[in-house]
Amino acid sequence: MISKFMAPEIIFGDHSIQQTGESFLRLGAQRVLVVSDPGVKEAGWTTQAVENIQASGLDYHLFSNISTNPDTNQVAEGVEAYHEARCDAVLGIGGGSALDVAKAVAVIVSNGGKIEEYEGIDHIHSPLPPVIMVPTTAGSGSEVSQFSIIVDPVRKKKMTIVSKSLVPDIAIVDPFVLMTKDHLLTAATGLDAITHGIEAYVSAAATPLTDVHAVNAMKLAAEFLRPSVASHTNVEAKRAMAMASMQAGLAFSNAILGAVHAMSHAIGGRYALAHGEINSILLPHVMEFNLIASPPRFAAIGDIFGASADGEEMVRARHGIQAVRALADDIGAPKTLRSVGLRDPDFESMARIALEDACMITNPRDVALKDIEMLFKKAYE
Amino acid sequence: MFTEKEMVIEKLTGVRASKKSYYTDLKATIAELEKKNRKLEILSEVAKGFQVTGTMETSLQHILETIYELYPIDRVSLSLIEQGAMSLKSVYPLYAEDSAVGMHLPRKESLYWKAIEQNMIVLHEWDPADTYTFVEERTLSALNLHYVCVIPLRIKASTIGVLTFAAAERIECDQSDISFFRQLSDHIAVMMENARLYQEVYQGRKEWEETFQAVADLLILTDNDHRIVRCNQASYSFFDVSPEAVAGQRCHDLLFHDTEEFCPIEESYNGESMKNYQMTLKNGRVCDIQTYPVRDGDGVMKGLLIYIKDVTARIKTEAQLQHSGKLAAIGEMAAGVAHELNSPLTAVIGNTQILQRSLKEEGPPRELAVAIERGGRRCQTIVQNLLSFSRPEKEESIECDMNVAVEDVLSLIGFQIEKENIVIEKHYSSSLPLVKASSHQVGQVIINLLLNAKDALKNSEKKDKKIKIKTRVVYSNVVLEVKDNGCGIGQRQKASVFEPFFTTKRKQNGTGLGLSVSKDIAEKNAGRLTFTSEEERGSTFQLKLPVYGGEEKYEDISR
Repeated sequence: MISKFMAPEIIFGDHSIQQTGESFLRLGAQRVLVVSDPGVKEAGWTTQAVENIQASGLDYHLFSNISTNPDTNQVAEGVEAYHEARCDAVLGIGGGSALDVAKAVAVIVSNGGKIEEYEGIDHIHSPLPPVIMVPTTAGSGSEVSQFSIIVDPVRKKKMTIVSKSLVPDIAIVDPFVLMTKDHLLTAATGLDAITHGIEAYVSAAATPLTDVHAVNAMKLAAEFLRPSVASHTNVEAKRAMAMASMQAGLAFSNAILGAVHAMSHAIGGRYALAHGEINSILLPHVMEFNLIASPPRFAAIGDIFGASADGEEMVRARHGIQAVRALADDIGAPKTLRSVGLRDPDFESMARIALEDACMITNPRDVALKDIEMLFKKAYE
Repeated sequence: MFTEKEMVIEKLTGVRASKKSYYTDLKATIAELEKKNRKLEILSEVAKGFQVTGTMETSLQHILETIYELYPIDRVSLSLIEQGAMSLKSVYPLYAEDSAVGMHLPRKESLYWKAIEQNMIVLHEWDPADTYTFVEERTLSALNLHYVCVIPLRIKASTIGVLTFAAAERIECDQSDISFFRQLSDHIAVMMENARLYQEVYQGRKEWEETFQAVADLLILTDNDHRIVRCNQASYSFFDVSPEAVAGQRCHDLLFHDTEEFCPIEESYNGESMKNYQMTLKNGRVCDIQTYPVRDGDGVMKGLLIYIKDVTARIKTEAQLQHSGKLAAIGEMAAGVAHELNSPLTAVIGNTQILQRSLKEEGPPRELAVAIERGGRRCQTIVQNLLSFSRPEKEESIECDMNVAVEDVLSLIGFQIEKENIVIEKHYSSSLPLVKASSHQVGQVIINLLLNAKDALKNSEKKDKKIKIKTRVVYSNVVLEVKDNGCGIGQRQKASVFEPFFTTKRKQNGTGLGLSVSKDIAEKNAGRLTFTSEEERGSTFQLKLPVYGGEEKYEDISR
């Protein structure tokens, strides 16, 4: 089997956010559309990046009207801002939402049309303007991935847009940026990163190259997520989680994901809930369902999360699932969908949407509609 | 199901997909631009090569050759609508088996008509094995062509016909090609319309020009500053000038002698109505001149049309008629006088003979009587000559003895000459052949030459006034030379000597017709009248006439 591994240029390190201006300069940009969210702006990171851009002699225009689970309207607004300000490059700085909108805006400014037209795999026909991503959460992995997830409010659906062109030109990962996150967000995004690592590791499209990143991401998260949630000034933990999130991103961008994300997207299309939290609720249930598809891998996951070093594969695997649950528990993640505020869910129709999601393809175990419904119901109570 | 899933996974992980590169994008953009530029160049080449005056085939050939690099077409044709019917006008290349030119295209079965009715470019491909839907399919299939692009030609709102490109096989066309064809056809339609308008204007202009040139009289168009704009052919021939030399010249410099002078027809330029003149132009011709102001669309005078009719011949004929009428009257009178003198002379001679017989012995009385008889006989000869000269010619005599003719004339006017103390020297050739001319006419010439010589000497202060008359044969011509040592002819007048009505004599002495008529006579009898002259030294006139029955061969006698 032939495989491919795709990654952007990655600048990693303390205060690497100061590389933003120069990086744009190298890419030939003159006026950067800065896509950010209000939280990051408030934390001061957007200002740092913008000042750095200006210090490099470049111009910028700020677009920060980004919400959690951004929709097509926000993309359209961003495109308008890009054209009005006559920008020629895009910076995404923020959590997964800001980064995904930045990518979607970049798609439209060079390809034209509406973002809905690019849903699915490989529908982008023209190269994007220079795109740089500065993640301010350790979770989405969007700074290195070929994905962009945008909500279509009409169809109440999270659209998955997949293309090699969505891989940014440069990812700037600065662990220091993570220090302003509160413990809830740290926990939710950290669990997202773990989900990325686990799903990529057991993916039907996993390769040795993705495994390296998935395993390392899981190991780092298993060790450092708890301390990271515990202290927002623990630099070592922040560095580890920044690396974990980025490597999980590399892994899932190339090995793709599985049922957790497929189902999570289905929920996210209808309920404005934190992606990381939903993932963490769904993750143990899907792991249990998928376990028989690859006991050795699930056993390895168990080893990584340190449940027990001995025993049969299936035992280690089951212990692993417990260890992941325990980790989520320890950092105060919600346990049921009901508890995060899912009101009168129509699991059947959400299952239908999840079944069609691109992420479902690489799920290691074949999935039927009723399987998804069952998993939703389990996660609900 | 399994392979489908694998395919989706392969797509997701993207072995076959890459991040889009600006390099390839740029290359594609450049290639697109280059193609666009090339198309623009081709449009411009087509425009440049379109011949307004050439044949349609040449233009079609040029179109085909120019666009061939982009579209490998095999045949280009042009069909035009005339009075609601369309027929194929021209084709390139024209194969021997191509019988389509001139073919009428029936509206119902024609693909070309369909393109016009739908007002769109039609790309049509057909399988030669199928039955034909359109007439064009049949024609093109016969040439092994199975693909055609039909482009309606529109001028403003109307469609004038179609341009077609046919090929053996399908030519791939996208939207940009279609728009190129549209531009090309619009271009060609405009050029064809231009060509048509040009031909119309050209034809109209040609007709006017031909009309202008066909006029035998002179037409000269000038601007308001007297500058010549255009002349007809007759004008160039009349003044013996080239169109280049005349263009921009002032009209009066062309027409009249004195360039410094006030233009004789100046008032034509001031007044704004038609004017009439009769004037002698610088080449000595007498002409009626009419001038008409030429006005532009606003009625403002922008030039002058000068119409000139050469009336020299008419005036000459009129004068000659008048003159010969006078001569006829004088002749009649002379004949009457001569006739009256004949009887008394007969009596004088008869009586003198009787007297001689009665004076038997020699002696002064008898000598006197003989002298009287001689005088009487001489008078009789003079009277005879006078009678024969003045008698209207009944039959054209065709032979003449030059010596006799001179003597006859001298018998009439010799006395007048000698009266002016002029010596007449005669050098007659003794073996002079007859010339082929009427003695009556030759006599007229001799009279003119002798009287002119006399007049030239009359004005001279010289003591030994002399007229030398000489006859001789030069090859197959008889030459009569009349030489005087009189005042001669001035350099400036030499050119005008033979012009009718040119005279240096006072009104009562000359009509200005003598030499002009004499030259006419010489030339009518296949001869020549020439002269040499030197001021204050005298003139020599030579009359050359061909020998009767001799070879009519040119020989320059002045040598």
